[in-house]
Amino acid sequence: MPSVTFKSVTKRYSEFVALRDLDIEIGDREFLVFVGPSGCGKTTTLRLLAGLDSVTAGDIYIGDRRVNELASRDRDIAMVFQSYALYPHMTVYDNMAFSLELQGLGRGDIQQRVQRAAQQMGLEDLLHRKPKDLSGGQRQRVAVCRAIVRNPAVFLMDEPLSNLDAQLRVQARTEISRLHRELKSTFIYVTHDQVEAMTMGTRIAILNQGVLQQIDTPQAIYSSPKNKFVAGFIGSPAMNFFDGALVEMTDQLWFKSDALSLPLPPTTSAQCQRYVGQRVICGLRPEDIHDRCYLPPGMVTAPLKGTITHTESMGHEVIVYLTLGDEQSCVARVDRRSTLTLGDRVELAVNTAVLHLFDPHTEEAIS
Amino acid sequence: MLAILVGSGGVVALFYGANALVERFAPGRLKGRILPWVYLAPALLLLVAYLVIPTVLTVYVSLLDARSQSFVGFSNYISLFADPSMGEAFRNNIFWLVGVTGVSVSLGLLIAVLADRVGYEPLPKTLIFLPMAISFVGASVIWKFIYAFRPAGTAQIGLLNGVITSLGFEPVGWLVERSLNNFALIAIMIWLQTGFCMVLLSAAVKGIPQEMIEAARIDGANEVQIFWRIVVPMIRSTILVVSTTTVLLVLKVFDIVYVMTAGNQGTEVIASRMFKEMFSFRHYGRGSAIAVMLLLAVIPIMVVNIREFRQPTTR
Repeated sequence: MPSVTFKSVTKRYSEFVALRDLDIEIGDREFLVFVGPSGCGKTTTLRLLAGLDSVTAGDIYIGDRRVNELASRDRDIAMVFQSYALYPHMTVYDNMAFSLELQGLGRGDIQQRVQRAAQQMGLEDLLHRKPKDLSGGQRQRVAVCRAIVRNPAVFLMDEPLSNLDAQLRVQARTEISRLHRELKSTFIYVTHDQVEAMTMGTRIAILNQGVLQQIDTPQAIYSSPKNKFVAGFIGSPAMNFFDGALVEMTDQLWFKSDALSLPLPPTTSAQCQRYVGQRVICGLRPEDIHDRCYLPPGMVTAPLKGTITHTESMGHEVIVYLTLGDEQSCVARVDRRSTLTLGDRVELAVNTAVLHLFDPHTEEAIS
Repeated sequence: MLAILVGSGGVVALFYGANALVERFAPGRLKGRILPWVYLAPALLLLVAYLVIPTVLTVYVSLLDARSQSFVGFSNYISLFADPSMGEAFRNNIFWLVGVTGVSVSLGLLIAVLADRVGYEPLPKTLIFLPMAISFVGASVIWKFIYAFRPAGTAQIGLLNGVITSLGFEPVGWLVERSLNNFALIAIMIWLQTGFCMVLLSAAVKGIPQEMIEAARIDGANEVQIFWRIVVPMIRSTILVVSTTTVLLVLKVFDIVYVMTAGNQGTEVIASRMFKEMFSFRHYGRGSAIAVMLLLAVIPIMVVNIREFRQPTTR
């Protein structure tokens, strides 16, 4: 199973730059998820790899083979479309057999491979139905199955779960992850849903406005985002950002803004020396702001004072919306036993070990 | 102008009056049942007066003799089947059916698919659609000039003969030569009908989602395979409707033949034969019998056509 490589790939549609200078190496058997807001270039990337669009500049390799000019059918890939794109005039069986027939396989071979793929996705009983007689979830499984049956080197999936309802989506997510483990091939998956990205990918590539922001494991992206965009995009509710300055007081670095002042942990202080006395942006994840009554033992915290404007009890946690002083608002994710109520003026505890600092001009992380 | 005003005003007044009458006099429960019929009745009456009664009458007349004076049973039909010129008309009509329907539908489809892929799509489509706006008689007059024939040695005023004589060939009597003239006439109808086929098929082709074509391309299909295995099956119902509509039109073809050759030199078709029996030979029985045969030929195609319309997508 080959790897996939993008070498400074650019795609321009007349004036509009859909993808700028993309450099990615995707390893064999990897599950890479492209994620980003609408129009960020993630689907374009997939279409370039599939051969449905041609690159403006740069090279794409599948294995050692440069595929820029290669027709889609010769790239040894399969794609699952967002709309599934099942052939409406063919039965499920024929939909799956179509690519095998075009390869010139014998009737017996085709039947065997279709049966095996159908078993894998639990579609044996639906083989003789037409797509219009299937439910949304079944159609999605047929679309995936049509890709599996070809046994390609690389699977491409373009938001395959976005037309499913929430419950089916969770189920389909685990199913696709299972397939990735069983098939042992390379999966490249496009989504705008960060939950899908976090749960399925072995690595995540985050794109914004055609530029790759960061590519890393889900955990690394979550714990050390490279810039403010990534920090704000991954995580729900999104990270809180505070404008302020870095100051040195009593041998310690502090982040100070109108609403709060936080001591920086000794480990990060060293890297921030050159920002002393300058403006910075501080990022705080909602789950790093705690209710004082349910503080994990041994945590070093600093106080955060505010007025509660809204609470959402999720059952396993409570989301609290606060205002701190004028105009500055903030979201916290606190223990489910918390009794914070609307209108309360409260003091919460910030875990100072996990502050994220960003340069206000470049928005790059300071580290 | 006055006629339009009076006519449409009259229709409005008729419906309004009838509605008011029912509203006032019908008891509450009956009202709902009567009202739809009030609105349907004028149309139904017109249909009966102008369609059903003439049809029944034609069937009846076809069983009478030349002057519609005495009952002769099926002898009109029998004599028609024995008549060699009627056989010729049937043969030619089948020729027409296959030629016009086959060529204009496949040509229309080809142009629809090809034009879909070029940037200047509207231009060729407009040119091909243009003849649709010309009446059969008008088209025939145009083609008379194209096919015009003068004896060899004299100046050729016909476009086709002008071309071939300038290339050094003998002029051809396109409309007289028995091996050619039917094709010459059929070509006119194809010229008229291809635009219609193209427009409907083009709309259907555009209705196929782009992702479907891309999926097929990734599945390994080349453009020809995509055409035959994805595009054609997906617009099957449109192809059927277009074909049956063309077949119906061709079955009734009359104007072109009448203007160009008047059905001479072996170009007779059913409709021109009917015209001759009816108005030249004044044999109402045989004329009506041909009309009935034409009707019987049309019915099964109508049924297919209407059925396809009722379920426009087989998806």
